[in-house]
Parts: sequence; structure tokens; C-alpha cells
Amino acid sequence: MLKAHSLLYAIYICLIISIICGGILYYFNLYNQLNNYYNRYEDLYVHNYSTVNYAIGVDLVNEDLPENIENNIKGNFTVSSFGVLQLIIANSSIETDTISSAHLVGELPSSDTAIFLSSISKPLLYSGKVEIVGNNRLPFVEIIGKVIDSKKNELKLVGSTFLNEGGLPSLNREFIKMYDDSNFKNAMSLSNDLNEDSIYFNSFFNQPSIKELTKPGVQNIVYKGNIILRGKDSLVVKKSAILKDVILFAPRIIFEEGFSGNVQAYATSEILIKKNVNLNYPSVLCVYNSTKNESSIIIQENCTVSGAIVLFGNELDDIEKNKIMVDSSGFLEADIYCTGALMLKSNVYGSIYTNRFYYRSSSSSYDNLISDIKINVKKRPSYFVPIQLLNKSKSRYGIIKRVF
Amino acid sequence: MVSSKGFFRANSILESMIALTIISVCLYIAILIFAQVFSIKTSAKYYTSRSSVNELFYLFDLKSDSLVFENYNANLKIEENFLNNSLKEITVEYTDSTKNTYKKVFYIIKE
Repeated sequence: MLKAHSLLYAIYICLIISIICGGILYYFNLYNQLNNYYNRYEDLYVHNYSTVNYAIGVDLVNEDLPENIENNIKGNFTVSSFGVLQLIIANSSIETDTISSAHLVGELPSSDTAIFLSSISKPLLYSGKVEIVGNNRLPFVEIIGKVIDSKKNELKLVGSTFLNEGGLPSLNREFIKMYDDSNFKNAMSLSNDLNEDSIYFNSFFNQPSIKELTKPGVQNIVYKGNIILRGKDSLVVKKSAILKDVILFAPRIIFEEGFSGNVQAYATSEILIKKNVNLNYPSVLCVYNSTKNESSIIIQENCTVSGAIVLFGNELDDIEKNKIMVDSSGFLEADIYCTGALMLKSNVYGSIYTNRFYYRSSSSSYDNLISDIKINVKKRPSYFVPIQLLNKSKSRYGIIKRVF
Repeated sequence: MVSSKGFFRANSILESMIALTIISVCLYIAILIFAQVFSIKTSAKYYTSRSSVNELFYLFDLKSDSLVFENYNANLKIEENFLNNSLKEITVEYTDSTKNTYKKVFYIIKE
């Protein structure tokens, strides 16, 4: 039975209902905000990936995407270069939230040339077990066998051989641009004190930072990211140094035994790689020698290099003074371009462009001889984006890797 | 109403009517708020559908041809627009069981 005082009870009930409703409102407001946040970021991530696809699809030319009316997301990308690789920074933004991602890209597709030998040399000779998969361009169509140390000769050729009347194709202009001093104008300097056991990291969203090294040794230190290390005379990279995505510049660069990392090394007189060194993808070893002095790239036993090996700049008279020597038991998943002479004792999964081969065994040395190696252009992984050595007309681009 | 020295007399029916009115107005406001809060835009179904449209982007990146030609899905309307030799612009419209459509535009590299 309803009694008096029920107004008071009614007010109490209103109060309780309003507190419950207010609580539910507040809870669902927060839940909505969180869901909107997740949805917004999910859309931004998808849009960012889509922007990178767009950048690659238009061959890095336009800078802005057509606007997306549905979600109001704006996207754009910028292209710069890091060494001989290109760097794409893709931004997606909606009102005040922005997401950026940075990717290193290179040009596809890889060439199908196995050996390109310029026509200033004698015919190509082989000895021992040699396997060549890919098209060859040689001065003489036949590869002649030569018996050395009474080894049995066995040649396996998969692919056609074309005659080549001229010299080597010209090298990608990006390589010689690296030796231009104006490269270093834009970069910021890191402080020059060398603290051992420290970590130096520079994000790819910033400008590259330069460190001028006074002592030649690089040990016990971590350099990752958008960093350029410059040595005045030589740089000796020891096993205890950790280098990832850095650029090295010095007249002589030496990698000590056991080093493992991912660098682009640009030298002007010598690169020496000692035993058991792993240079991961994408690494570049480059020597530019336009003087009359000797220059060399020496890769000792059991090394793996993945990327590109280039030695250029010399005249045709100085071929004997500029050499690339690759010792046995190694593995090169790289393209090699040499305007001097090349001695190969390890397998190569990539293209070789050289003016001359040579082979030095314990007893004697031979010109234009390859012995006991496998050269296979088809065996690279399908995601491998080669570092473009030649000046081809623009073809498709592919993502090498994402960087931070 | 409390009567102490006879100003107002207790009148239960009026009181209970006022009380009922106040309670019913409160409940009415509460139901309005509930209806707003539990709307379509906040249901789990909405977020599931939006996620499945985003998932389509990654599926397209992997195997675009089979999505367009092989599995015919009445809820999914796909429009491909080739911008140049290697770039496709894809517009996807997904209709879920609540008959709401979600539209998304993205770019995929064509191999």
C-alpha cells in the first residue's frame, strides 16, 4: 500500500537511477573513444601500407595521393637516397594523428646475365668443375677447357651465350655520386668523442649524421641506422663492433675476422675482408680508383657477402693494377662489377661484369680462367631486390626492407 | 507530506501520482540514453565488419586474383581500377548481415 513519504522515496529512486545511468554513460563513452582510437589507427596503418604500394607503383614520381573522401585520410611520400639505395618515407595523417614509415627500395627485376666479359681479353677458359646458369656475353662464343694439375674438366652451361664486341656497360651513376663531397653537406655531425660500449642510433626519419673517426679502429660499439662513418686514412672494423645500415667512407677499409653486419663500404684504394666475415643483405663494397696507383678488393676464405661488389674508375691500361680477389669456401649472393681483373674461387649467385678474369694457384697464374666454381643467377631468393649496377631505364621498384 | 500542526494534510494519492510521474520521467530519460549508447555504431558487429574490410586489404596483397574470380561472395563488391602497368586501385564494399555497407579504397601492386 502506498503510504505518505513516497515522494521522498521517489526522489531516492531517481537518484539511484541517475547514478547508474551516469555510470553507464561514462563507461560507454570511454569504450567508444577506445574503439574509435583503434579503428582510426587501424585505418591509418592500412592506408600507410597502401601509400607505400602507391609510391612503388608510380615509380616514385608523384608526391601526393588522390584524396580519400571516405575517411579523410591524407597520404604523401618523400624519396631520398641512402648510399646507392633509395629511401621512401610514407606519411598518413588524419587531423592530428600521423603515422610514418620508412623503407629502403631498389630496382627490380634482376638481370639474367651470368658472365659479361668485355672483348679486350682472350677467350674464356675453364678448368675443373664449372657450372654456369644464366646467359653469357663473351668475346668468343665458346668456353675452352684447359687442363691444370690433371683435374678432370666438366662444364655445365644452362643458358645461351651471346657475342660481345664492346666493353663493359656503364656503371650506375649513383656509385660515383657517393664520392662527391657535396654528399656530406646535409648531414649533421655527431660529437666526436668515441665512447666505447655505447650505442649510436639515428632514425631514418632524420637527416643522416656523420661521425669523423680519428682513430682507425671500430670496436666495442654499436652503430645502427642513418649514420655515415668517415675515416681519414683507414677504418678497421673489428668483430666486437655492431654495424647495421651504416655507410663507411675511407681510403682503406678492413673488416677483421668474424665480423658480421650490414654496411655500405666506399673506399678509394683497398677493401680487405678477412676470414669468416658475413656481410648481410643489403651490403655494398665499392672501390673507386681513378689514379694510377694499385687498388684491390680482397675477400678471404669462408666469407659471405650479399648485395653488390664494385671496383671501377681505372683506365683500360691499368687493368692489372686493380684486382678483386675472392678466396675459396665463400658464398657471394651479389652482383660483381669490375673494371680490373677478377679472381673467383667461391660460388656466386648473381651476375658478373668484368674486364678480365685471372686465376692464381700455388704453382702458376693464368689469364681469363675460372676454375671449380658455380655461377647461378636463377638461384637468388624471389624476394631478393638487386642493387642496380647498370644505367638501365627505369623499371619496377621493390621494397628491400623496412627501416626505423 | 508531513503534517505537523495541520498545514497540509497527508494526501497519499496525489503523492503517489507525483512519485510515479517522476519515476516514469526518469525511466524515460534512462531509456533514451540506453538507446543512444547501445546504437549500431557501438555494437561488436560493427567493429567486426570494419575489421573484415581491413583484413581484405592484406588478403588482396597476397592473392588478389583468387579473391576477385574464385570465391563469389554476395556481400562483397570489388571494383578494380588499373592506374598504370603495375598499380591497381581497389574499391571494396562489404555488406554485412545488418545491411550496412562499409567502403574502402586502397592501392595494390600488380605483379
